[in-house]
Amino acid sequence: MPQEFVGPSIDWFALSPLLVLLGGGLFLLVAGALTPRWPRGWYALASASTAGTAAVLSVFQWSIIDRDGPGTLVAGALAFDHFAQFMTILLCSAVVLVSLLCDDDVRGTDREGPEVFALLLMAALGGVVMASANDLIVMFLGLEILSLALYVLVASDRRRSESQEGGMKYFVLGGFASAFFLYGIALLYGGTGSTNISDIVAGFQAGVSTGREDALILAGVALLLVGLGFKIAAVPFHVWVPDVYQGAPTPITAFMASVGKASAFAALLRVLVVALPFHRDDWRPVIWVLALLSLTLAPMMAIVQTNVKRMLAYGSISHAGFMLVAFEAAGHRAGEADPGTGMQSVVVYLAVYSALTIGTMAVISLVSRAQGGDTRLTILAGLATRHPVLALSLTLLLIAQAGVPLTSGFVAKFGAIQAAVTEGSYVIAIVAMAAAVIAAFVYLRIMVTVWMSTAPGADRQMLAYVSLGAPADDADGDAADGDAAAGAAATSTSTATATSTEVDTTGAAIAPEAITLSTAVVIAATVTFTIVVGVAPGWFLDLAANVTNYAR
Amino acid sequence: MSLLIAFVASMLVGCGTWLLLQRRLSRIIIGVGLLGHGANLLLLVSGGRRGTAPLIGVGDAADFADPLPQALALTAIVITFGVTTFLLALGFRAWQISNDDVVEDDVEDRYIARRAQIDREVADEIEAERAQAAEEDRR
Amino acid sequence: MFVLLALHLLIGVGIVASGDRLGRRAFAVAALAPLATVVWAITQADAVLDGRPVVVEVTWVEQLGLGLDLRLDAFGLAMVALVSGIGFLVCVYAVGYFSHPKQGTARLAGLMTLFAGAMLGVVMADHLLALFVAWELTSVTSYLLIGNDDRSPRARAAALQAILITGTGGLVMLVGIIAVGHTAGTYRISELLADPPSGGVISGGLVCILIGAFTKSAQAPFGSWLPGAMVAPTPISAYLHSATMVKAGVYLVARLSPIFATTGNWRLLVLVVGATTMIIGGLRALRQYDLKLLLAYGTVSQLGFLMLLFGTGQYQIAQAGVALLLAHGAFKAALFMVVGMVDHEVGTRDIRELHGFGSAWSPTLVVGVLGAASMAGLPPLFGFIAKEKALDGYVEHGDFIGSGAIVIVIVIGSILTFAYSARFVLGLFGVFGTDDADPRSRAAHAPSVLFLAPAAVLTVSTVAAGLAPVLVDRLVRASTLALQPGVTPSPVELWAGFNTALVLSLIVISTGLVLTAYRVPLGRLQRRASDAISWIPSAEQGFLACLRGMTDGSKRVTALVQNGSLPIYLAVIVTVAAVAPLIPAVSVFPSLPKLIDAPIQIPLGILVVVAALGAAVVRRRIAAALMLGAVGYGMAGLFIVQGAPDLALTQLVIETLATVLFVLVLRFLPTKWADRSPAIARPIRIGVSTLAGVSVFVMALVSSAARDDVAAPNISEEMIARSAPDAKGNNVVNVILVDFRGLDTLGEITVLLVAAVGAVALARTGRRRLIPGRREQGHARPDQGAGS
Repeated sequence: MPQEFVGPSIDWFALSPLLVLLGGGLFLLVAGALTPRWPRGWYALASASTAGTAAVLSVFQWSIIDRDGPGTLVAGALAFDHFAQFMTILLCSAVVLVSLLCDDDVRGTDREGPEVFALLLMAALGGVVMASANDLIVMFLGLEILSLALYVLVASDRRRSESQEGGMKYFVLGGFASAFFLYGIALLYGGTGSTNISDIVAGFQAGVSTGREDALILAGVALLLVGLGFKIAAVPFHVWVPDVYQGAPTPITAFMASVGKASAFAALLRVLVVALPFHRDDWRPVIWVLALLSLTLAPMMAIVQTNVKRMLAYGSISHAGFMLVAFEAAGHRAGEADPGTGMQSVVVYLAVYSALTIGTMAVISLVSRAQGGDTRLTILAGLATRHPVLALSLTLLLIAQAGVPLTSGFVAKFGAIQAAVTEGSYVIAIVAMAAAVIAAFVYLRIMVTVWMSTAPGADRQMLAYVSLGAPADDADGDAADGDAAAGAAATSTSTATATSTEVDTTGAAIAPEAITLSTAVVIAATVTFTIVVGVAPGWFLDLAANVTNYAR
Repeated sequence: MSLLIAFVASMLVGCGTWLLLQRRLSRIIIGVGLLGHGANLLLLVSGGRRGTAPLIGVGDAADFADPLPQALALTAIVITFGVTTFLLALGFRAWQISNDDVVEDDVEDRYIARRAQIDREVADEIEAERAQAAEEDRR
Repeated sequence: MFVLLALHLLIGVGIVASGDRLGRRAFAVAALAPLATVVWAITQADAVLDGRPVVVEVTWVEQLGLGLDLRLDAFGLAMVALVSGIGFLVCVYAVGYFSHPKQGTARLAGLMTLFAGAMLGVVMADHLLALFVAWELTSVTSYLLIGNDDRSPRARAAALQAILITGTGGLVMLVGIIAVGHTAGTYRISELLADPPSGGVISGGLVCILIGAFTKSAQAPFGSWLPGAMVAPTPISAYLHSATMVKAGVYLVARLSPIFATTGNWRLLVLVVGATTMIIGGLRALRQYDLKLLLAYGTVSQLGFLMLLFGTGQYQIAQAGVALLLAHGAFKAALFMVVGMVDHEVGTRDIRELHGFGSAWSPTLVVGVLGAASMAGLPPLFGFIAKEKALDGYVEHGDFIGSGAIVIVIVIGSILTFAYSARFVLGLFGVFGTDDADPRSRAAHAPSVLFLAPAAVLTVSTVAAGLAPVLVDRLVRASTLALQPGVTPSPVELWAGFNTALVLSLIVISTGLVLTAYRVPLGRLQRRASDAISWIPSAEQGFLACLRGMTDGSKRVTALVQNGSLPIYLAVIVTVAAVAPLIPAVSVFPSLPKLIDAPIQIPLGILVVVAALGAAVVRRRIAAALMLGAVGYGMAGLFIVQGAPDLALTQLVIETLATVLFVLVLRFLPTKWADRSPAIARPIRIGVSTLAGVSVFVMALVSSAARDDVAAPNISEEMIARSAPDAKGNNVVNVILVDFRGLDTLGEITVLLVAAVGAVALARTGRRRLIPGRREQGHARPDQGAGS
C-alpha cells in the first residue's frame, strides 16, 4: 500500500464514560464467570462504583464542554454536548442506586451472581448511547442494547412465573417496537439520504425537499414515534407497562421506570427536536395527542388498581404524559435560537421522576420482601406503626409524585405546565392540571393505606368508598369464574390471593421489615434529592437549562 | 427494485403478522423471524438500486449496488438473530415453568372491570345509610 | 419570618416522627410555635400598624418565576393574631381535651403545627404562587387532620371529601393565578394592587381564583365538606374549620377585591354566592341538634357574610369585614371549645340529650352564653360592633347595583344568626332535652380550669373589645389601609350615634326574639318546606354522584384500554403502525416499476413466498422452523441477485445457526401445537395481516421511488469513493462495517453479547432444574461472534 494508514482521530477521554460502562460490564461478566462466588455485596459494589466512575467522568466532560462548546465524536456518530452528559450522569446515578437495591433483592436467590449487575451496566450503556447518538443507526443499537438487557432483567426472577410472563410480553411488544424504529430509520434514510443527524439537519437547511421525500420522512417519523412511544410508555403504546412493572423484580421496575424512560425520552429529543426541527409542525400534534391520552387515561386506570406496583405503573404513564406536555412546549421552539423552557422541563422531570420512582420502589421492595413478594396495596397497611421513618419517607416520595409544593415533584410538574402555558398550549396545560388532581388521588390512596392501622376486619365498605376500588379481599370468589383464557392465568392470580389472605388474617402480626444499609442509603439519597430540589430548585434548573445547547 | 421484491416483502410481513397474532410463543418466534426477513428486504430495496456487488476493482463503481443499506441490513440480520436466540431461550424456559408456551392474558384489569358492579353497590349502600341518618335527624 | 415558618415545620415533623411517645404533651410542645409567632408579631406590631410592613424577599425558583416573597402588613397581622393567637389557645385547650390520648393523638399535634405553619404562609405570602403553595399545604394537612382517626370510616370519607373539593378548587385557582400572573406580568399582590391589570384573560382567571376561594371557604355550592369535617376532634374543628383555614378563601377575596372588584363579574359572583351561603347556612344551622354541626353551619353562614363584606372592593365595607373576621374568630373558637368541653365531660353533643348542668359548670356556661351573644350581635360585645359596622357600611356607602338587596340579605341572615345563637344557648341549658331518664349532663364533672381557660381568654377579649373598641380600633383601621392604601377608615366605636344601622340591628334582635319564641311551629314549617324541595339534588348528592361517575368511568376505561391480551395489543399496534405511514404515502404513490429485475428472481421469490406461507400454516413445530430456514435461504439468493453477496453469506451462516437452534429447542416441546381459544377471531387476524402486507408493499414502492428522486450526492457514493484510499479496503460493505461505521459494529456485538448473557442466564435454570449435564443451550454461544 502506498499510503500510510491514518486512523480516525478518536477523543478517547470524551468517550470514557461509555468505555467505563462497557469495560465494567464486561469485567463483571468475565471475572464473575471465572472466579468463585464473590463475598456478598461485592458485585453490587463493583457495578455501583463503575457507574459512579462513569458519572464522575461525565462531570469532567461537562466542564470541557463548558469550555469548548459542543461537538461530535467518532466521525459524527456520537454527540458530545451537555444533554448527553446530563443524561449520562442521570442514568449512571440510577444504576448506582438500583445496584444497591438489587444487592438486597437478589441475595439468597438463584439470581445472586454477576449477571444482573453486568446487565444493569449494559443497559445504562445502551441508554447513554441512545442519549448521545448523533446517528440514527447508533441510536438503534443503543436501543437494542438497552432493550435486550431490560428483557433479561425483567425475566430474571426465574422462580416466579409472573416475572417470566412479564419478560415475554415486554419482549414481544418491545421487539416489535424496535422493528418499527428500524423501519422508521430506513424510511427516514430514504427521505433524507442520510442517517446522521447533523447531515439530516444540514440537508434540510440546504435545500427544498420533494413531496415524495416529505411523505417518506413523515412516514418514517410516524414509525419512529410508534417505536419510541413504546419505550416512553405513552398511551396508547403503554399496554405492556402494567404487566411488566408488576411482574419484574421491584428494583428492576424502578430501573425500567427511570433508565428506560429517560433513555427513550432522550432519543425522542434527538430525533424530533434536534434532527427534525423543520417538521415540528408535523410531529407536534402527535405529541399533543399522546400527552392528552396519557394524562387523561392513565390516572383513571391507576385509581381502580389494587396492586401497588400496578398503581405506580399507571402512575408512570401519567408522568410520561407530563413530560410530553413539556416536550410539546419544546416542540414550539424546536430549532430556534431561544429554545424556551420546554426541553429543560423535560430533563428536570426525568431526573426528578427517576429519583422518586427509585426511592418509592426501594420502600416497596423492602416491604414486599418481608411479606413473601406480595405487592398488593394491603401490604403497606400499618407501615406507619411498624416503621414511622420509613412511612414518612414513603409519604414524602408519594406526595412528591403527586406534585405537592416544596417537593421536587411540584417543581417538575410546575415547570412542565409553565412551559406549556408560555408556548400558548393552554388546553393541554389545563388538562395536565386536571390530571394532576386525579393522579394525586392515586398517591393519596397509597398514603392512606400507609398511615392506616392494620385493622384486619377494617370496614370493607368504607375502604371501598375511600379507595374507589373494592378491597382486594373479595378477589377469591371472582377468580374462578373467569373466561377460558382467564382460567389458566388465574393460577398466578390465585396464588397471590392465597398468600394475601394469609397476610390479612395474621393482621398486626406482620414482622417489621429489616432495613438493610444499602436500601437505607438509596431511600435517604432519593428523599434528600426530593427535598433539596423541592426547596431550592434553582441550581438544578440552571444546570438543566444548559442541555438545550445541543451538538448539531 | 421490482414489483416482485415488493410483493415478496409484503408477503413476508403479512405471514409474520399472522403468526404474531397467535398465542403460542413458538409461533410468535417464527413470526418474528419472518418479519425480520421482510424488514431486511425492505431495508435493502430502500437503497433503490440493484447492481453489481460493491467490490472496488471488480466492475465499474457506477454500477454498484448501494452499499450503505447493505451494511445496515447486515447489522439487522445479526441483531434479529440475537433476538431470536433470546426468544428461544425464553420459550424454553416458559416450557420448563408451565409445560406450555402460551402467552397468557393479563386478567388483572379485566377483573377490575368486573368489580365495577360491586363498587357501585357499595356506594349505594353508603348513600342509603346517610339518607337514614338524615331521616333520624329530622325526627 | 422564614425562621418562624421553619420552626413550625421543625416542631411539626419532630412530633409526627416521634410517634405516640409524647402523648398529649405533644400539644404543649406544639404550642411553642404559635407562641413564638405571637411574641414576634407583638414586637413587630407597632411598625406594621404604622403602615411599615415587614418584607422578606427571597427568590425561590428564578427560572420559573417562583418567589417566596413574604410580606406582613396590618391585615396580615390581624390574620396572624387569629392563626397564632387562637392556635396557641387551641393547643393549650387540647392538652385538656385529650386527657386520655389514643393512638395517633400526638400526630394530631404535629399535623396541627404543620397546618399552622402553612396557614401563616398563606397570610404572609405576597407572591400568588407562594400563596398557592401554602394554600394547598393547608388542604393536605387538613385532610390528614380530619382523617387522623383512620379506623373511623366516616372520618376517612369526610377527609376525602374535604380534600377532593378544596384540592380541586385549589388547582382551579392555580389556573386562575397563572392566567392573571402571566397576563399582568407579576405575581406579587402588592404590585398588582399598585397597577391593576384588566382584560378578558384576567376576567376568566379571576373566576377560577374565586372558585378556589369559594371551595376553601365552604361557599355554596361547594360547602358540603365543612359539616362533614366536623368528625375531626373538636380542637381541630375549632382551629381549622372555624377560625383559620376556612378564612383563607375570605382572606384571598379580601386581598384581591380592592384590585379586581370592578373587573369582570367579580363583585356579582362574590355577592351572589356570599348571599346564598349566608342564608342557606343560617337555615341549616337552625335545624341542627348536634351543637357542633349547628356551629359548623353557623360558620358557613358567617363565611358568606364575610364574603359579602370583603367582596365589594369598598374600604368602608371591608373595614367591617376586618372587624367581623376578628370577632368571629374569637367567639366561634370559644363556642367550639365549649362544645368540646360538653362533649368531653358528658359524652354527647346532641341537645336532645342535654338537661342542664350542675353549678360547677357556671363559668363554662357564662363563656358559652357570652360567645353566643356576640355571635347573635348583642351589645356591648365585639360581634355587635362588627355587625353594626357592616350594616352601616352597606347602608351609607353601598353605591353599586344590588347593594340594597344585600342589606336585606344581611338583615335576614343576622336574624337567622340570632335565632341559631339562641338555639345554641337554649340547647346548652337543656331546653331541648327529651330523654329525662338519663340526665347525664347534670351529673357531669365540670371541666378543669386549664381546660376552660383558653375559652375564657377568648370570651374576655370579646367582651373587652366590645366595651372598649379602642383596643382593636388601630388594628382594624390599619388593616383597612393595608388592603386599600390611601383611604381614611372611620374609627371603630361601640356607640356610633342613632343611625339606620342601629334601627336595623334593633329589627334583627326583635325579630330574632320572635323567631326563638315561636321556634316549634317555625321548625315544623321549615321541615315541611325542606321536604317540599328535597327533590332538588343537594351538593352532597352531587358530590357522591361525581365520585361514583368517576369510579364507573375509570373502570370502563380500564376495561376498554387494558384488555390484557397480547394478541389484541399486537393487532391494534400493527394496525396503527400500518395505517400511520400509509396516510402520507398514498398521495405520492409512484408509477409501478417493472415486474422483475432478473429472471432468477422469479423462482427465488416463489420459494420465499411459499415457504413463508408454509411457516404460517403448518401445525408441526419442526416443520415450521424448517420452513423459516427455507425462507432464509431464499432470501440469501435474492440478496445475491440484488448485488449483496456479503449479505447473502451472512444470511446463510445465520440461518443455518438459527435453524439448528430452533430444532434443538423445539425438541423439548410437543411436536404439534393446538391452537387454544384464539384471542382474536380469524377474519380479524387475516384482515390485520393483510393490512400490514399492503402497507409494506406501498411503502416499499414509495420509498424506492423517492430514493431515485434524491438528487444530492448521497452518503453512499462518498463511501464508495473513500473506501479504497482511506480505509484500504475494496469490499465497500466490509469497509463500511469495520471502518466508516465501526461503532455500529461494536454496538452490534454488544447487542449480541447482551442477548447471549440473557439466553445463558435463562437457560441455566434449565440445566439445574431439568436435565442436569445437558448443554444443548450452550453450544451456539461461541459461534455468535463469528456471525457478525
